[in-house]
Amino acid sequence: MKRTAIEFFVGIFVIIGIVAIGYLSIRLGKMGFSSNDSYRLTAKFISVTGLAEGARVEMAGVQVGCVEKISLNQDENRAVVILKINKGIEVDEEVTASVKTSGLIGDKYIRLKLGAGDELLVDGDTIEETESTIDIEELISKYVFGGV
Amino acid sequence: MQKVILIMVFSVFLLSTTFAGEPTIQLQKHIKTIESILKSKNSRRSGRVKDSSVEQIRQILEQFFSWQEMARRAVGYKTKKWVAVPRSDRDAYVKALKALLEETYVGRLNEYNGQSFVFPEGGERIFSKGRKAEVKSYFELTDKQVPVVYKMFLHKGIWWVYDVKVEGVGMVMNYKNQFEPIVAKGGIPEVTKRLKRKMLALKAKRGKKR
Repeated sequence: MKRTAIEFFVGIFVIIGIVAIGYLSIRLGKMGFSSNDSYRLTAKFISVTGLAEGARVEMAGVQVGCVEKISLNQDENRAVVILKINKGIEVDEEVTASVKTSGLIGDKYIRLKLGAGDELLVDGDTIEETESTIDIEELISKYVFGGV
Repeated sequence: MQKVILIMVFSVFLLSTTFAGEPTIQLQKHIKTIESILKSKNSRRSGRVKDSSVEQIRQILEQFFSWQEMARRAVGYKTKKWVAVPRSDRDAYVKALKALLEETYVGRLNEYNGQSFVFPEGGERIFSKGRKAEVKSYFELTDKQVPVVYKMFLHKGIWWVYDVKVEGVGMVMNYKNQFEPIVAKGGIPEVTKRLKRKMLALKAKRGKKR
């Protein structure tokens, strides 16, 4: 009888341990079970050259989220970027999302610049105003061969 | 029963009049009027657009260009914050911004030489649950087309322009970048002061040219 009690408690501890390890790995791996701590916005760009999934989303230089997914919309020939924004960060409907480079040759990130819109964007909404990456080669060719 | 059918027909009719391409239709109408004023022979005297024609254009602008909304966005204020600013401050600021824009652009009207705006098909996009729209157009110069995008909002059945983007550069964004640091320091009265100062400088410069 006593032996059964000990085995029972050991079993409980093992289960607690497995749950704790599971929880830790999810937290450290930034996977997350639910999206309770963030919401998603979509932005369409002409080009997102150099932008990677997981890149920072900044507002006034402060990280407020990250790039969750980048895909291609072939009908419109646009890059579709899904941004994961931290809960509690308010983004208005006239916000501008631009692809920026940190420093001269640094990583690409998304900068959000708030507008003066009265409505706030909610999960699943689309950012209407976007600015794509500045393509240096294109600028040089425009300069060399002349703009049209 | 007849009443119900009547209301249904009426609502469908109303829907169709405020739907399908309404922003473009309204905008195009005003732009065409301005073009016809500038194209008419008696709008100019010795190469310069007459004051009476400028006044006519100004009145048409009032019918579709929302100076208030443009000015509010240029300082990055949401309506709630904007309304909290004393009315006299707001009015003085809008007036100063309007005066500066007119001073900058009215002179350019003299350069107008019969070019026209083209509204391409499918160049309109309505968003924000039908409250806002973006209308693309091209300004046809002899050797190139300049893309001009109008941002509009719907208010009581009228589409008002609140921002204009020329070659991808937005008017509101341009002013916002300049005004925001000033507003942070001295509020809207400080912006008004700077605008008036700039206006005086422009006038002095124009006076010298003459």
